[in-house]
Amino acid sequence: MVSSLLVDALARPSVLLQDLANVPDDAQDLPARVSKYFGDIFASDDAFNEITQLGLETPPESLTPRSLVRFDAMVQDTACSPEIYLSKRSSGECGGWGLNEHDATDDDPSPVDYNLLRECNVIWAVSIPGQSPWSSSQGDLGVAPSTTPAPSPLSHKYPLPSTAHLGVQIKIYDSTLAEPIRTTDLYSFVGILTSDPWHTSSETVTLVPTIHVLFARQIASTIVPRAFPASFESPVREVREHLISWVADEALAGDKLAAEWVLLAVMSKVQSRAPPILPLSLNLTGFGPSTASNPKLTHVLSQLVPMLAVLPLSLNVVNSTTFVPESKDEDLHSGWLQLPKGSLCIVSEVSMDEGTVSQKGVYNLRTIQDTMSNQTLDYVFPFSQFSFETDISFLVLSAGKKSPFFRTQLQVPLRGSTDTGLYAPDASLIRLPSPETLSEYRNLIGGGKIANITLEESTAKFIQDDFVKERQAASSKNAGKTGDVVTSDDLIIRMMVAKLLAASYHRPEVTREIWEEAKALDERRKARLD
Amino acid sequence: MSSPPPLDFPTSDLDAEMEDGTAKSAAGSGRGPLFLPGTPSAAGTPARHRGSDAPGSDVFRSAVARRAVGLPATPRRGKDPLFLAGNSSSPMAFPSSTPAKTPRRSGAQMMDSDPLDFPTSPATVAPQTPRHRRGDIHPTINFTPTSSARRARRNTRDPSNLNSDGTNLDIPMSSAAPHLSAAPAPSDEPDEIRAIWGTTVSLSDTMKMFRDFIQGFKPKYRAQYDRENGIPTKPFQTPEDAEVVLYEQYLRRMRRTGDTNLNIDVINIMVYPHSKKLHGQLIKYPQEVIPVMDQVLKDLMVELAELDHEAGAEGMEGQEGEEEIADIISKVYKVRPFGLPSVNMRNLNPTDTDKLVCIKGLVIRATPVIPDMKVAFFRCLTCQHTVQVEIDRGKIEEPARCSREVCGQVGTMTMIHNRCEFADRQVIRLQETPDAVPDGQTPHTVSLSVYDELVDVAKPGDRLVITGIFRSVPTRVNPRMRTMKSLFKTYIDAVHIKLGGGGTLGFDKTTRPAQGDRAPGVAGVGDGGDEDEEGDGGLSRKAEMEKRIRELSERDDIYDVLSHSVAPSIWELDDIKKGILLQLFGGTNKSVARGGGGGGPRYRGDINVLLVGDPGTSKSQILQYVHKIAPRGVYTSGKGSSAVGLTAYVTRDPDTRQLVLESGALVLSDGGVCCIDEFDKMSDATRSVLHEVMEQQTVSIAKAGIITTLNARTSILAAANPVGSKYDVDLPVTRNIDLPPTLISRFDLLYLVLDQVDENLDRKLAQHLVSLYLEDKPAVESEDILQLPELSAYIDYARNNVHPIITEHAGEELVTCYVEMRKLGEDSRNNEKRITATTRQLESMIRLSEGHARMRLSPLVELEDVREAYRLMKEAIRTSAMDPRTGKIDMSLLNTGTGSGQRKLREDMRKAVLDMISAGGKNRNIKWSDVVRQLNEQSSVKVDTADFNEVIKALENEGLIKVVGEREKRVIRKID
Repeated sequence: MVSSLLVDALARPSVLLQDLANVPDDAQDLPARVSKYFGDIFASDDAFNEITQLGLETPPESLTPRSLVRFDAMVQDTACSPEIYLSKRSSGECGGWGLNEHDATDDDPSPVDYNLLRECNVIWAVSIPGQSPWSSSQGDLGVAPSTTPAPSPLSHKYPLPSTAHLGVQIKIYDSTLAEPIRTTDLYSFVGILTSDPWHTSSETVTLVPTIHVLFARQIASTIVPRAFPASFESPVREVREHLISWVADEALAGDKLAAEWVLLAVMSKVQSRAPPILPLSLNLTGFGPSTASNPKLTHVLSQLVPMLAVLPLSLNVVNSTTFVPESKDEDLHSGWLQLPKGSLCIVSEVSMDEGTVSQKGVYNLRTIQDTMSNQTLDYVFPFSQFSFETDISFLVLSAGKKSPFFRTQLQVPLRGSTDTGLYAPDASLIRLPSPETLSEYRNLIGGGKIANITLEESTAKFIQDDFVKERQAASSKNAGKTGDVVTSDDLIIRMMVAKLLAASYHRPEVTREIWEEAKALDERRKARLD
Repeated sequence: MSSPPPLDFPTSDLDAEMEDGTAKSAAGSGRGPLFLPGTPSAAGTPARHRGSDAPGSDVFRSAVARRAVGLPATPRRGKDPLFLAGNSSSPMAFPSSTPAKTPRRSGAQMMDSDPLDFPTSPATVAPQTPRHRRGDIHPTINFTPTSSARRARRNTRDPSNLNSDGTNLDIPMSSAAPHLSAAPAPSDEPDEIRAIWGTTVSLSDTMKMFRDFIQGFKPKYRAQYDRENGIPTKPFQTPEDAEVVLYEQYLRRMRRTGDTNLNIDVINIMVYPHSKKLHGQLIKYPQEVIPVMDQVLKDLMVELAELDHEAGAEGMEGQEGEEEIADIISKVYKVRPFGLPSVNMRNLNPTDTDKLVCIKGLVIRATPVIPDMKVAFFRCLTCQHTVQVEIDRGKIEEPARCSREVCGQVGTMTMIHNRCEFADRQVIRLQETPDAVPDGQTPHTVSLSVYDELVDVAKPGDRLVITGIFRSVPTRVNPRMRTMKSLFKTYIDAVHIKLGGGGTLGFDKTTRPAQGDRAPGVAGVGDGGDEDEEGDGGLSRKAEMEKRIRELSERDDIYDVLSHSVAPSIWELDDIKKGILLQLFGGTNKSVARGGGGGGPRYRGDINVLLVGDPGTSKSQILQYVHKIAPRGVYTSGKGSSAVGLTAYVTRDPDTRQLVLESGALVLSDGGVCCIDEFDKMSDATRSVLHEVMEQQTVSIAKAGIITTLNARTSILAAANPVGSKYDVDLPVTRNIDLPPTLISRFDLLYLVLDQVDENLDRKLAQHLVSLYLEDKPAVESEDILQLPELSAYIDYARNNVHPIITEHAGEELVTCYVEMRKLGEDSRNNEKRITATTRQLESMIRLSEGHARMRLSPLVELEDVREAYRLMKEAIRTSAMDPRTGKIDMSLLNTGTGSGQRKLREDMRKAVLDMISAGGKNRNIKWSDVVRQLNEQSSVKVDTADFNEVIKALENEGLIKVVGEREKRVIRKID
């Protein structure tokens, strides 16, 4: 049964808001009451899904002004100046949420009561960059044709250049809601859609779609809710095995070892900042020179991960596009790397040519490397830089034997066994498994991404002894020469691999077997390097 | 600046009516509310209070009158209220019969000129209109400084004024004065209007309090307050120091220096018992209180000048004194309060509107100076009637119709641009400083309007502490709509600017010239050198910090605590951490003042450290960490940085097409630490720049026709990987590091970070790592370490405040240690003396000792400092300068690239080669390969090709042999 309140809220949010404002309640500020009130109405998922969702198919222009909308978005810019509004008109009507702006008269002689002024936070939000169509609750978004001009008036505020997206100004009246919002956070903003001017330092004022937020919900980094350990139809090992084979066959010319490493890299995430336990960056080498089309791997992975950004490195891209967000004239421009936490970024070097890398290019390449190794991104502001934490897994695809630009923690040379190509012009050449299987795969990866792996005391002891033993053995063998001694860095990588391996089996604990398997996996990888 | 101009610009034909008292009163008050004391609205702008009203004005008036008689001075505008009281341009146009009631309500702040009086000669108006306005103060509430208060005070002061008037003037203006005070009689109105609108704050009280404060504040009050709040203060040198009337001194100084701004620390107002209330009033109602304070200040300036004049104080006698007084009268004095605790700009909210606030920030943009229209001048096209309209909250109301009743035409008023009045204004965008931004947030920005003297004080990139009035003004929501008052924008009208506020990470001040680019603070007296005080918040916090740091430095284990705090997440490497710690503190910069060549050379105090080691030994982490805590730290990777990125380059400004100089990492880290990772991967061109940087501490650039030398007084912390990524212990350091020896020798400390297999260490390491990475139990640091900001503050404090001097003992110890170091290379069994240490190492040792003393916050370098420096150097040398062939420490290994063992080897080889060639007899040619083969046969060790090449090259240079041919076919020919 759909309550009349819900119907009202969906159809006439402004009226409800007005009514709410007219009921005085000293205990709580109006903005807080509004978020609670509307949050309660749409508490259930069914109700929440009733709200019209903004997207490329339902752009703001297609909706009537002041209708209730929902926008799943990434926060791009929080540096906008807050707005001050009069919370109560002289006529007694409530202000804010774009209400009653039109009937105020220009020459209202009464002095302003500064006690009635309230602050409203203004941020800029964009469609989630690199969101895979399957994870969007809007259903089949389809592959957005990248040729259509971006509908957003401020396309410099979207990380991926010349990609269709929406950009919306978000006005948040509830300060408790606004306070925790950081850039690259993912939120569902629900509010009243209007068209308001965007304040920049420039003279020209552009009108942009604006949502006056009633309430908002944070979106998980997996976008679709996941569980760990998750339950599967068939044994998890089997699912995992099939997944690896599918990735290997469809994208990596049958190389299962590489596919397994890809799987692990895709699931890695920032676990801790101090000590830095950051996502493992993986470099797949030996892709060979690119034909004009994309690596199949990008198509395959977009079926598996919720957020995937492909960064096609070429001289032009490196030298002339921006990689880090930069504040120019007090407007925060976006850059390739301003991606939500939990994203996968495929840096494809395969179409790189010979030529000069400009100063900007050198800086851009360094930025990728820094982000890869520190998981922080420095936003450039005038006279200062601000470091923001990111959580992006990097996968570098190189044509040659090693990446000319980046140092990754892991490097896996590709050894294809079949002669199916590595490149495909579009996703249609990929053979998809049944939807059920595909969803199991996604479940496996999504669950692995949120896994929290622990270790038993005895295993810890075992690992320590193992390390000492290995070093002793290596040093006696090489007789003083520091040859292939296992270093502390090796130990760190193995431990991270072991954790990821446990996560990929949906096992909450690193066991001795997993440790041995991790070591073996690493050995096989190293063997290929020689 | 309203009153004086008539004096300066006497207009000849308009003084007739000056003789009569009313006219004179008008003269004195027409510009000010004095004349209209009863109309709260009349004084819409502060400008008019100043100079024209209040006690000072009788002095002024006397001066006016004085001139009026002899000279033609016509303050003519004042008259119109008298003569044209009824037809003032007020849109409300309620006829008022008395000047006092002249309606000048908010809507139209117009002052119409009297066309009769002023026929078509607008030119004469100009000199009269100048009035004083403070751009930063626009009272949104109309108020009138009460006439009664003024009168009362004036009466009390009358005798002295009379005296002074009498002595100065031939005109008995004393009679005029009472007359004047009588003039505004109709304004005797109820008490309410003497209060700030909407409050019970009485302006006369406010004036009295401020007057009391200026005349009564003594440093002892502040000292007491500071003591009570635990703020350390400088003790007074003499008891009298505590008793001086501080602000009267300032006033005198202002008179001498011609300053018109008085900076007043609001804390002083608060602590002075009689003005306690004023503190609150000032913060809550700055736009009413500050003009009042300005007024009082001017009065006091004049009074003081008169007193001094009477007393015949120096420079105030006779004619000179009179001129001085006249000068003071003509000036506009401004009070600039400061010293509020600063708040974060994101905590400013609408309720702060129109209050005095203090914020810190970084200037990101500043507009050019904007001429800000203060008074618009309109003339009726039909009847030439002129009207002036003052700015009211950023807007100028254009008169819709001619205000002359006779004319009254609509739409005939045109603005005469060059008759309008303008003031300097500048809009600055202030961004939060990085340290004030909450974690993970983007910085906020706020607009700042600065006026008059404060214009062009701050440049982009400066850090400022701003005291100002927070404003909210309505803005248009949508350009297409006429909607106002539902949305507001905020900005700050600055009343006081302090430069260089608040960063915890400053630069090393010793690297700056004594006279900085700009003096901190701004024009004005009151917060200058002798006070050296910061705002309340700043002072107490700073003092607190200082106390903590001092306490810390008392600890015996401070050295260990600090060194453990450097990169705490990194395992062991204690000596390296200690070396880096001393690098952060640095030695003192010295220049030999009496040396030859204009001031003599400058000795760097910066300590350079090089880490060389196996991959996976957390070198980069150390660098990253240092970059975080170092003052002006810059982190760069040798691989990614071109010469340009590391140094400076010239480009064209995209806007102006002008050549501009942009500096790179080294210049940016001037006075700080530059961390260079992957030092070995750096291009030769870039590296060659470092030679200059590391010894001369400058960067020279010649580009696009500009040749310049920039200062790069920076310490360098570099990390390099050995050749072939793993350190080969069988080879000397120089062979392991692919860096020119000349560069290596410029590093004070060279550490080898080697990955050695050792069971115990390995086990500990494994434990550490496993617990860290797998068990999700971040190792709880039991030992106390300093957090990053604290460590950073400690270092900054030491660098700025401690400049240790070497004691005699320490000097002797330095000599002993140096001799010892040189002795180390002496082998008793061998006559051959190797160079172990050079003067470069002695210099390094001095710097390290100074750094160590600085770390202890000790003003003297003592024995222990030298010993520790010696130990560190030995540690560093022992591992880095070990000649693997001799097992000895050999500094020449670093300085020339060859160890003495190797040198001996080469000498032997040289002999052998010469023997071989002479043995050849007639055949003077020997094949290269034959020589190598024969040498190998003779020698017990394999002949190193590199060594062999060197020997041959040396022989060739000596002219003994000649090499002919290429590659394999090379032939060595003996030259006779």
